[in-house]
Amino acid sequence: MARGGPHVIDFSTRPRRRLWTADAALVGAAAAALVLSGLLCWNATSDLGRRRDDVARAAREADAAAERAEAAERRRGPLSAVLVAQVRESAEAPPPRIVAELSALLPPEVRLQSLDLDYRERLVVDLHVAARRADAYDQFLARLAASDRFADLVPGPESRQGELTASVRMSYRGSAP
Amino acid sequence: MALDAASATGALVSWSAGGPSVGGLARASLVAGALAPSPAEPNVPRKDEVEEALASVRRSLGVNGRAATLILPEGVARIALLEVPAGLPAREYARFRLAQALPYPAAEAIVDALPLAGRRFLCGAVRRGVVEAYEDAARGAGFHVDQVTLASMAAVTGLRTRVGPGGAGGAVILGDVAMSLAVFRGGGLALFRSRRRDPGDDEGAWIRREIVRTSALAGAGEGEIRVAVAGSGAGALLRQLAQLGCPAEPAWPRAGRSLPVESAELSWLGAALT
Repeated sequence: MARGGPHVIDFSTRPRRRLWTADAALVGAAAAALVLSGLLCWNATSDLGRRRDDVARAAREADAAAERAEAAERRRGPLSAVLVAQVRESAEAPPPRIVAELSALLPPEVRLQSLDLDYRERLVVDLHVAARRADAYDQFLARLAASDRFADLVPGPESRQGELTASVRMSYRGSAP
Repeated sequence: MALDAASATGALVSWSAGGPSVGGLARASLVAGALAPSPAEPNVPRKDEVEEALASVRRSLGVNGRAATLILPEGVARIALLEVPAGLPAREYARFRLAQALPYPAAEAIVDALPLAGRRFLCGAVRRGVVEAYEDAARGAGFHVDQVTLASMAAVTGLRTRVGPGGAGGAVILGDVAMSLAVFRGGGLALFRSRRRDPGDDEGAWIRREIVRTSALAGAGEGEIRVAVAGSGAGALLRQLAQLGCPAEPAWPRAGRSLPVESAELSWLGAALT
């Protein structure tokens, strides 16, 4: 179909192959070896970088947890006050609004995989995302950080097997200044 | 050659200086249950009967060993209209976006993308095992399968040439068990949806409601766009739509030469003549 066009749609399980000469095969093998060695080198470098990131992230998370514990200690008050805050939060920030506001921040190459909403005195948002490329995920984090709707951003663990998957925890501050 | 639940159809397409033309067309019926289009389940439960129908088509066309395009029916693929970010390979991006909508592991999907205007692509994913079953039947019938495409993508290829620059229009692309709705605006494909068919007396009214809903989603009001119909049962649907006061027309004009079926009954014919 449409043989004259620049792109021929083909869902074959065995797409048409071109005949390779011996020279082309040798060049291909050499290129594959070069790519493989580059990948091994890149993997080793990125592994070291990831471990450094993990250590820094763990330190940040520990600091954040300590701050939250101190804040909770300072805020501790009558149980009714906590319940009132939960009711107020769930009314002011219903799940569809959170999903819509998060969706507006997602770059095209990032998709939302799961979302946990914890209505406390403040709404804590815990989400998992998948991204085609690491820089798309970075772009998403940058948008979250720049957003006036979310605060206390804590990026969680990342997995880079195939597409990148990661978790992010933050609080929702809604339309309040 | 094209396969669907009720029939196997083949067309002999020739290319010349005057453009492509259909030199012959043959059709063989399939008994109910021999072929069952589905995105995830086995599609060819009675391979021998499908092979025999295809072999009959091949003999009628008088072809042997000539490169053939195999057209898969409506209902086997997940199809989506996607805006691919600049600099990204369309197929790779389509695989990423379609993965979450597949009823089978994404690694089993064969993905391709039909380029439209700008960075817009009509992207499809078909399960490898589903394609293999169709390919095996075609090869078993003596065809040399050179390319595999989807009926709906072939239809869009033909339809977009009929919608001029800046033009608008709607299309109903019918298969035996599933159908697609396409809306063109500003000369380009603006919306594409697929549905399982719901055969019965009310199908015309149901499809009319789907046309209205799809047009509204694409930003067009009822009656603002002309609707073209192609595929299995196009003639009957055109009559039902006329009775319902929804103006529609066959997607392809009647062929100049005598064919065993009306042109509009073949959703993919437009692509063969593009």
